[in-house]
Amino acid sequence: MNAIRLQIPAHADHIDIVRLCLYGIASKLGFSYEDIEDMKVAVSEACNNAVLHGVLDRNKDIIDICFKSEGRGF
Amino acid sequence: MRVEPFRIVHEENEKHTILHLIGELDLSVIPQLQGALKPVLNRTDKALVLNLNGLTYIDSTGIGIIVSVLKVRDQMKAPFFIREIPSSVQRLFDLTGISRYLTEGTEAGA
Repeated sequence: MNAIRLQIPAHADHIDIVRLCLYGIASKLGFSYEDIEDMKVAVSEACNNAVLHGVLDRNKDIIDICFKSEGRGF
Repeated sequence: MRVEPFRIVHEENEKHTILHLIGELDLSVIPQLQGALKPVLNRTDKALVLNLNGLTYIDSTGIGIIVSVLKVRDQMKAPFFIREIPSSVQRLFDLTGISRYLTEGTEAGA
């Protein structure tokens, strides 16, 4: 499977981990600095929305992020 | 990619209250920023300056705080400036359309 999955507790404190992970994966795939910055914004905002509007139980809920490559893979 | 923990350095001089925002400004540090702004937001004797030189990331909640500061300072007719906006942050200010409302203060002008 061409996918990397990341699970974080659904709390704002962990969204920086998502950005770090995204940076690592996107760098490895050869994306430019500007493209990675744009991806960071898009993915972080999606996580913000999940934390702000999707959380039912702050102590139990998780956010599941899946990085997929439809090209040559990782 | 180096991640510096978000911090705020408070600087005061005769005419300005300057908050230097350093690191990544995201949802998790909004209470920290609000706490730093609270005692200085309503002061009319000095210009309020946000220096963004050390800011490596800002999200929509951070931009939301800046917009709310803009509104409050505008209503009070109190000066508010943003200084040294990094290019990646400037791009987001342009995309969201708030650039035209921001006064970018220079050393001489702010």
